[in-house]
Amino acid sequence: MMITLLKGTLVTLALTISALGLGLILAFFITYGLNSPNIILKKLLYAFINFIRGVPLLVQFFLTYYGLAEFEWVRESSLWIVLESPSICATLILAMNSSAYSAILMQMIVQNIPKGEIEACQILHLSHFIMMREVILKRMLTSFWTIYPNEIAAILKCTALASTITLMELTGAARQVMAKSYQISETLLITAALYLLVALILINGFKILHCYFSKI
Amino acid sequence: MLNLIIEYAPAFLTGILETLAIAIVALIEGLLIGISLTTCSAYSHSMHLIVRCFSNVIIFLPELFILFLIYFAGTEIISAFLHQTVEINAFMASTFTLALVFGCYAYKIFYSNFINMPGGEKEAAKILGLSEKYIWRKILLPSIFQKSLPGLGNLWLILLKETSIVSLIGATELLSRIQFIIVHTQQPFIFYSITAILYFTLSNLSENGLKRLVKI
Repeated sequence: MMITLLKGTLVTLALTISALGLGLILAFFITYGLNSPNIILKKLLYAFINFIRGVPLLVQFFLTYYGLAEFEWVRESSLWIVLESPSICATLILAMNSSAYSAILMQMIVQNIPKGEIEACQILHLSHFIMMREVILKRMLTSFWTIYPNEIAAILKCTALASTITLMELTGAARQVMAKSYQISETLLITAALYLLVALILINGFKILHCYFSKI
Repeated sequence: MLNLIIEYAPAFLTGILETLAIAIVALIEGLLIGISLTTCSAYSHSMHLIVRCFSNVIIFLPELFILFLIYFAGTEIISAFLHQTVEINAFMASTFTLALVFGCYAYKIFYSNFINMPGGEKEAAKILGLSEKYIWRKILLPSIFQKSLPGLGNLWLILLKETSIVSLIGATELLSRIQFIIVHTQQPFIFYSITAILYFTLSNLSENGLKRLVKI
């Protein structure tokens, strides 16, 4: 029983970390796109964010995992490698969710950067790249990292839904154990403790890393 | 394609109504839980610690997992206490789960507004010679509630999306109705897309409604 649950914990941990990492990279691109002068790109990105925010995660999972498999041409295309395996599919969907929510936060911070700083950069004839890197990105990240633990907890909670597309993460493992052993309350209590442990590890791990890197 | 959609339109409608029913019942229960947690926490320091621990545990656990905990383990534990088999039905378990999560987040909002309450209002009311009960009922509680309204609006949007998970324990709502239809028609993509659109419209409509409510 414990072995199945521990395996599930590892899957949950791996899923959360990979989704967060991929989501973070995507979020930077989305935020960059939201601040670009291209109106069509902006509208598309806002549509993407609104779609992610408005549609339940469970429906997103079902739509991509079961819905797309209906078509013959999807199953024959090279896209099928991604859609076939529940772990890659779940990671991608979670990463998209994480990126949309992170991008909203980043965009809010970027909009609140005082205009004077950007004007000062322009007067100093700093190049666009240096302004982005030294002023906007730095300012954004210092505020962003303080609210990032909430995002970690949110994505960790979302991973539970991956059990519905046959991925054996912690909730899925708990269901399996319950079906086999009929020890319902014990299994669920152990699983709850494991979830709290994972949350503690991830959030405190992030805080330690953040402290370490901000000192350099 | 269109024939199928028109044929199953009544099922969509009942699904939407059921989803709204679950969400509204959960909202009312959740507000009650939130208010009682805040009252407990304002009562004494030790109670505040207990309530804070409890709400943090609930916030870090996935909703799907809490649903299983209440539906499966809840039945077992209550049966063991009463020495007879008690069945918690799926509707009760799902509304209570959603309410519990909603209540814990609502508690955080209420409590932060309660702590940050301006002292001037209370003093002014006291100088006017109003009784303690009157001050609480007519001045402090309405102001706390009004300040909490935007936060509660966001929680409502989250709650509306979270109702989709209750289909996993067999409660009937929009998603489970759609799944029945998919078993009949074998066309998952189109029907899951319709579900996504329906949820999207629901949350957008309530977002617009909330914006108006907050402005008043």
